[in-house]
Amino acid sequence: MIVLKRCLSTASNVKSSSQIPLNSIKSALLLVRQPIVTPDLTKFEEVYYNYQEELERRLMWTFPQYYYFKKGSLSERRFVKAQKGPVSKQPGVFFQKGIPDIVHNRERRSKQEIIIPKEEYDESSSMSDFNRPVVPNSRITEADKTNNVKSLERKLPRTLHLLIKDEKLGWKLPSFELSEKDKLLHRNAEAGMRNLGGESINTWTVSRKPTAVLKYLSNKLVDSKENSEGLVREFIIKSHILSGEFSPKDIEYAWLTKEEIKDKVSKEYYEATEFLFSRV
Amino acid sequence: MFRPQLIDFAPKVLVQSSKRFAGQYVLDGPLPRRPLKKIRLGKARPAIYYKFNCTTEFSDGSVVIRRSQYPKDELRLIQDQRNNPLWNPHRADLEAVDANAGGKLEKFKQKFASFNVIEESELSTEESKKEESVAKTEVETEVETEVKAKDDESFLLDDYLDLLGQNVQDVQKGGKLATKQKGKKK
Repeated sequence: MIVLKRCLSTASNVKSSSQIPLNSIKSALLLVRQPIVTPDLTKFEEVYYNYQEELERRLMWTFPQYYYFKKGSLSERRFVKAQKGPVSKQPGVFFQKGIPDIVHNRERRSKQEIIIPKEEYDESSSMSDFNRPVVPNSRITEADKTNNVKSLERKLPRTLHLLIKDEKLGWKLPSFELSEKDKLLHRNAEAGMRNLGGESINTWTVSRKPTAVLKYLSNKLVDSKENSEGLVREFIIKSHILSGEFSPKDIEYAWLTKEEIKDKVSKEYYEATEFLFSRV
Repeated sequence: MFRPQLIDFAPKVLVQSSKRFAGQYVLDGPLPRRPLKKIRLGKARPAIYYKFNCTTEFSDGSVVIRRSQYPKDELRLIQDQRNNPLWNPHRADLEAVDANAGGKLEKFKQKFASFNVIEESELSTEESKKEESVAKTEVETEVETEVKAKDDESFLLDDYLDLLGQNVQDVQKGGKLATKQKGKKK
């Protein structure tokens, strides 16, 4: 029992507010994995960015070849050999696509395309590890293909939230009971999370203050304005998982986006917690 | 004081050339607001250097695309923020690699390590601090030893300074330093 005494107050203490049983307070945890890659573009955004890119390429100055390659050097020769030369103006010739306008070996009427000479990649050579071509990684991971909701490497452009399955209440945010030793909400939530998912996890708790409160009356979610006796309050602490591995032993859990949470949790629970989940 | 002079100067140019410049602007003040060059329609373009889209791979295998003027479109980094202990304090397997190891500064330090007076004095003060924490009761004796140690240091320093002053010759700062040799003219 926590006994709250208002020593300096002149008003007489109300009995219900002075004594709050410890098991009526719980700390819950909103553990978030931030997006790892840039968000997926809509069709319109894709077209817009492509247009801006092409416009900038068109307005770019001629590549100063003389600055980067010394005249007469081997690298210059290699570079020049790799370029596709422009069509030059000839007297008495009809040019279907307009008369070429060439300055510094560049067609000025269109964007300049520079080709960088590359050595052929040989897999069997001893330098193959350094020389292998740089290929961007796929935005769709193995976990996406197998729809593994327990993996942290799924849905890279989206924010993921940790949900666990409670026997009585169904899918919900993980919550922990306060103990006499760990009365601070954020400490209790962190310790509880370490208990669940092991020590090999690096998190950052946003604040000591909770982001939201959920009220339960005999294991049933009630309205936030409810103020009767016997309420159990869940204070939700927000935290980010930065690195490490979340590997609980004997509970069912999932890393979900906002839309997936809507399908998983009960309707009342989603209505009460919807604002906590990120749209991105 | 300067302004009237400039105004006096400007109309002369105007009278000589009597040109209308970019837009409908006629030069009558001291300074033109636009460059003295007619910008024709479609001839104004922004200064954008040629840039390559460089796919860059970090040491942890992640790939991003960067804009760069350097003629390279693929780059593989060996040392970056992904494996630097400064940005990864939770990783125990990383070691700080000193970029200057084996460089000029390191060589200099090795060569003249024995002359590093300041660091030694710092060390001695640290030691004395440790002693303090061990035995707080013997404050007075501690103070005495400290004073002694400091005296020793200053004595040593003075010794070296004395050496520095030996065989010094004053540098001639003014007067005739060198005379021009005259060639023989006959």
